[in-house]
Amino acid sequence: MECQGARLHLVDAQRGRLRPDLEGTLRAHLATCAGCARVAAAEQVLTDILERRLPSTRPPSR
Amino acid sequence: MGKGGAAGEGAHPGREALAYADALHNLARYLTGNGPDAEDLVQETYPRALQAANQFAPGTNLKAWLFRILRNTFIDQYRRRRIDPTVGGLDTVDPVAQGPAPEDWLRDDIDLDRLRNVVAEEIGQALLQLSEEARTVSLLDLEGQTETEVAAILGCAVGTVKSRLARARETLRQRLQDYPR
Repeated sequence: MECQGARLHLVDAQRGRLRPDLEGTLRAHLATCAGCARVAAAEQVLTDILERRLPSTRPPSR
Repeated sequence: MGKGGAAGEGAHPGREALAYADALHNLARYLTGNGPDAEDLVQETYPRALQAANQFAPGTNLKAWLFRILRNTFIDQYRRRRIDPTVGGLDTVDPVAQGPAPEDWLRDDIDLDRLRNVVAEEIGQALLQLSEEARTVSLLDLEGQTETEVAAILGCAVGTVKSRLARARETLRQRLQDYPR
């Protein structure tokens, strides 16, 4: 797996949507590619802050 | 923010559709950028959904169906105002052409710590600075919609959703890390 392909799959991997064989290939790539591993860590942090801190708007009560 | 997209609703989406008012308003708020326009957008979305109720396939994802109607309504509103929200949009955001490779600005743990420490207001502002397509893809993903569902909402290929989402998130990460402290 190359870096460009690996990065396209990072969100799917977080969401548990990757096929097992693809997930294994991605994990193997992340274990050997420091750049993609850093991006994967940043993706995880981004998901965490979006889910926890993004202001969730609500319609005004009537 | 809510997760998932309930499937398996009944034959008529009317009553069940109201359960998604908050999720619709949240998407509308980040599409329009302000509360009053978001209200108008949601209020125009529901009558359209009721008019199109016979097109809803029972057992499919009602939430995704409503998101699609809301997004189409948003685009229609912009067309009426003679503004195209997709001009200069996500497709112009090319991280390779516009900036360094992601790992170049993710040099070490300090960069990750900066990302961890952003506050809610910064996240909301960074999201609003994205193009309409990038915002929509990011928000629908956060709402728990699958890439297949997002593709149906946007009327594009799953592969397109995947690449747009990756680029949108990369832009978000970069902007949040660059936020002045």
